[in-house]
Formats: sequence, structure tokens, C-alpha cells
Amino acid sequence: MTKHSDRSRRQEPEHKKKLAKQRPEDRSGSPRLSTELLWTYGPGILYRCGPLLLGRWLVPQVIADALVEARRPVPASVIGALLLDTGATNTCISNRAANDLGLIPTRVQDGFGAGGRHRNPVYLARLEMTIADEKAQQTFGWEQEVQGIPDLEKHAPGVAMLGEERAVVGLLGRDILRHARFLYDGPAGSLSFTFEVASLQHAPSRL
Amino acid sequence: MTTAQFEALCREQEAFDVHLDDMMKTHSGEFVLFKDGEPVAFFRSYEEAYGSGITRFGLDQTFLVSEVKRREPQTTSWELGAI
Repeated sequence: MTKHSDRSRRQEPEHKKKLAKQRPEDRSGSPRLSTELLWTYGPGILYRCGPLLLGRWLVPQVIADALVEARRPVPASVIGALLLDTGATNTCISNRAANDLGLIPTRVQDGFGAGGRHRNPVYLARLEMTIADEKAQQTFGWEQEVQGIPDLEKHAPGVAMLGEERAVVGLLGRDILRHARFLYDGPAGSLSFTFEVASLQHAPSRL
Repeated sequence: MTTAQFEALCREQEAFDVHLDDMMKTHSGEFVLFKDGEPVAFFRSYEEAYGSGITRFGLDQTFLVSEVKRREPQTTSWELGAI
């Protein structure tokens, strides 16, 4: 899978035009949409793996501060693929990623998935996503409660992103997707994705 | 997270659920720190409650932090691959 902005792609001009029409402007005239990210997976990979974006999980600031104060090492961030899941109420973290960060859950949440009802741990965690093309780069961060999902990496196939094999480390749910616009192009095997900055500023994700 | 930690947290969650009706009367919308089956203190933000938990019990202890509110089960559809 490669990240690019292929200007020659057949369906892109129409899509670009559409996005440009939708793009709101604030009073200062600066665009409210983030840089548009375009991933081209290929139709087979997009079908098999689903729409994936690169993300980074980190320990929340309150934990990082406490670890530093206790002279203990702060775990390195966990980088991996996030599966866009419009069926997920809220964003989720794989239990494996949470364990790698040394997170301890703070409550339990009942959830429904295709496997039925289950009880999952809930963690406070920080998620960062960088939206970039060859011209610009923007990083967005959320520090919030996220539901832990057992064995996510075993059931959701990982994929090579930017030259490295990446496991699926989370689900990007509607709490974050409500600030995004994306186009799933099955025939082309690509995904274009933007955040609406004004929406993020107006109604940030809540705990 | 170990199995023992998760089981301990499930017990805290069950105690929270038992106390929820009472807590809703006077602390709805606040954030509670819960330990050993009892509410320890209430706070105006999640960060305050979590920070207090770490200060009181340390980084490696299990304690519950939650907004005082009723929650519905959440859905995830990833096993279906649906978007």
C-alpha cells in the first residue's frame, strides 16, 4: 500500500472538485479542512483488509508525568494501522497495544460486536494521527477513554504501510469520524481522508 | 493487564453499577474515583479523578474512574468488516 497524491488517477479530478465545493472557509479565509490524505491500497487489499490509516497510541499525559516523577521509563508509542469502522460507536484500542503501553484499565464497558455481547476494559489513552501529502503535514491528537478489543490483531489483517508491516492496533469509531470526510473507492482500491478542522474545534471528542 | 487486574476491575464496575442510582441523585455528571467497592471522591473532570487515583493508589493499582452516568452498550462491527 502506498500513500500518494496521484494527479493522473482517472476518478480523482471529479472527487477533488467535489471536496473543493464542500470545503468551508472561516472568516479569515483559511481552509477548514486538513490536508487530504490519499492511500492507494489496490482493490484486493482494500477488500481484504478494509480501509486503514496509520496511527500512533501513546500513554496519556497524566501517566507520563507520573512515570517521570517516579523515575520510571515512559513506554514508547505504538504505531500501527487503524481500521475505519463506522459501525463502532467510539474509537477502540487493541488490548495488545494497551498492554504494550502498560496501560491499566479504569472501567469496564459492555459492547456488542459481530461475536455478540462482551465486556471490555476501557483505558485512558492518547491517539495521534498525521495527515500528510508531499506539501503539508498536520498531526491531530485525542486523549480520551477508549475501549480495549481482545485479539484485534489476530482477526483484522495487518498491511504494509510506508514500507513496514503494520498490525491493526485500533478501530477509528464515529466519535472521531464525525470530524472526517472520506471516500472509499472500491474499484480504484483507494481511500481519501480529511479532517474538518472547524468541526474538531467546535466539538472535540469527549471522554 | 493481567486476568486478576481485569477481574478486580469487573468487581469495581459491579459495585459502581450498584451505587449508580444513589450517585446519580447528587453527583450526576461528575467523575467518581472508586476503590474497594466504594466511591472515594468526586471530581469535576476525568483528569482530576484519574490523577487523584494515581496519587492515592499508585501507578500499578486497579481503581475505577468514571463519569456518573448511565451508559448503553457500545457497538463495534469490525468482525464483519463493515464500514
